[in-house]
Amino acid sequence: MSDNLEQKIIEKIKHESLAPTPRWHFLLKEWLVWLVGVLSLLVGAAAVSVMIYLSKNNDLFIYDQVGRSFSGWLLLSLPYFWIVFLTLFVWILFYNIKHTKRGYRYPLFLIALFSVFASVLLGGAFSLFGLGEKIDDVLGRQAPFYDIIFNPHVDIWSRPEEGRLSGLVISNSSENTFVLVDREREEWQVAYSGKEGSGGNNAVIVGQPVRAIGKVTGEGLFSAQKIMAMQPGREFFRRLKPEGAPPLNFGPGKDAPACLADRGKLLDWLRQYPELKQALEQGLLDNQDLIREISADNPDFLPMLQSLNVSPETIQIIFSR
Amino acid sequence: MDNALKTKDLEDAELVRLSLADPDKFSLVIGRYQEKLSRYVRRLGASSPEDAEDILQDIFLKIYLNLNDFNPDLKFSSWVYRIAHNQVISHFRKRQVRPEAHSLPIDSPGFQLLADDISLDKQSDINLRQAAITEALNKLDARYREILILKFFEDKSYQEISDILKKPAGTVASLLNRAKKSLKNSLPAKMAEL
Repeated sequence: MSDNLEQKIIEKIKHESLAPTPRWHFLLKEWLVWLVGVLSLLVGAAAVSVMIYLSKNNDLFIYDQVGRSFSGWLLLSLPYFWIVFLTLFVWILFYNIKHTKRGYRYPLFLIALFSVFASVLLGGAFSLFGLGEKIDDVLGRQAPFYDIIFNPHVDIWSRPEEGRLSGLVISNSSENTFVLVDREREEWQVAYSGKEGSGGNNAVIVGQPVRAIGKVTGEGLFSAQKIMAMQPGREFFRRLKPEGAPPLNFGPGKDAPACLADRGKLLDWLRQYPELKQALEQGLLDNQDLIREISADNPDFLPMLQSLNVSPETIQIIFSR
Repeated sequence: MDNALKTKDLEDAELVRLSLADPDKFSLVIGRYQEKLSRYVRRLGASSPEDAEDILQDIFLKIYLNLNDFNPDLKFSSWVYRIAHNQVISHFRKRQVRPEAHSLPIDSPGFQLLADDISLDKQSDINLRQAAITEALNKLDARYREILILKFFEDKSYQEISDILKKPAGTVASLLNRAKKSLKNSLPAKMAEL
């Protein structure tokens, strides 16, 4: 059998012109496995960064103020979509590591642990660079069903009958009342009678979304005991800007463009307190989309910013996109 | 004769390089591994010489086609055994038959190694003992039988078995342990020492 088999195999190779599969074919396969693994790690980490961003703004400990138990409130506000999304990509990462050339040498639990920790650690690093916030903003601006799928908090805070109301502040005419438009595009007159330090007027900025705990007191009327800013989902709420509404202003308690009579005083303060100027510029940088939107609707807005001695670099960063 | 000696001295990796350059040189790889793989295939359950030859031919063709995939970090023999292992599994899966261990050559030193390892009663007749082990192996789950064959009949180390079966070394150790226990349980009670 020995020589016979040897001959048969060599003849078959020659007769059928068989040739070894080229090396690049195997290298490509291996690279693909690594590439998909790395992509899964990046996508999983991005999901983690969004989850961190959502949870940072979750206010878990207000459960008693909304009449829930801690566990009930926690279960209600978990970002299920992102959990499933992360699980999927951690699994793909796990699968790909297992299928690399040396992947079989490592115990499965070790690969699984690595996949989870790598995604979480990288997600934490992404979060430091504000990636979760950026992803949430992009999805908030463009993703369909954002309020149902990507950000459970929008839905949780859209139950006025249960004492939770959220929406975009569209006007803030007096000290303790403002108007917001909720996700159903209904307008609410919100009366606020809470204490300082629990949100209140500091959170009420025209053009920014807020959430309020309180109760419905009449048709389109809501009495708020606590008002908080609503960071995740802010771009989603900006979709609600009513057609033909006056340009959304920037700053609490103001319906009109910044009070011109106070400009001199403001300039003095900005000179006197460099930290204030720094905070103003940081605020502008943090809300670049809003600034561009306001500027697009108001030709005077950019000159006004310049007159406040906002540094040209900041203006360039904001308007370079 | 000189040539034959030189060929014998060549490293596996060198044989791979030569085969890639000239298909005729692949006969050197076949020559080096044919007997070992033939034994392995029969041990894994090829029931007839024709069956074994068919499987062997497929194995060598697969080795040839995948020569460029050989990773020098690995022992060439482990890589070859891995291909053989996969080919045997796929062969039996295609035919939908259960591999049989009865084709284990009875004179194999693996029987003694295995008997010593699981502390079989040394008083019993050697032929009876080997027949009992063969029968017990035949009844074993395929993955247990395979790992026992690799360890005791093919004399492979844990690392080599890990590379052949593509399992972590720790898993190989625990699988081997379970395989030995299972084999012992399948043997007649009077043969297994307490």
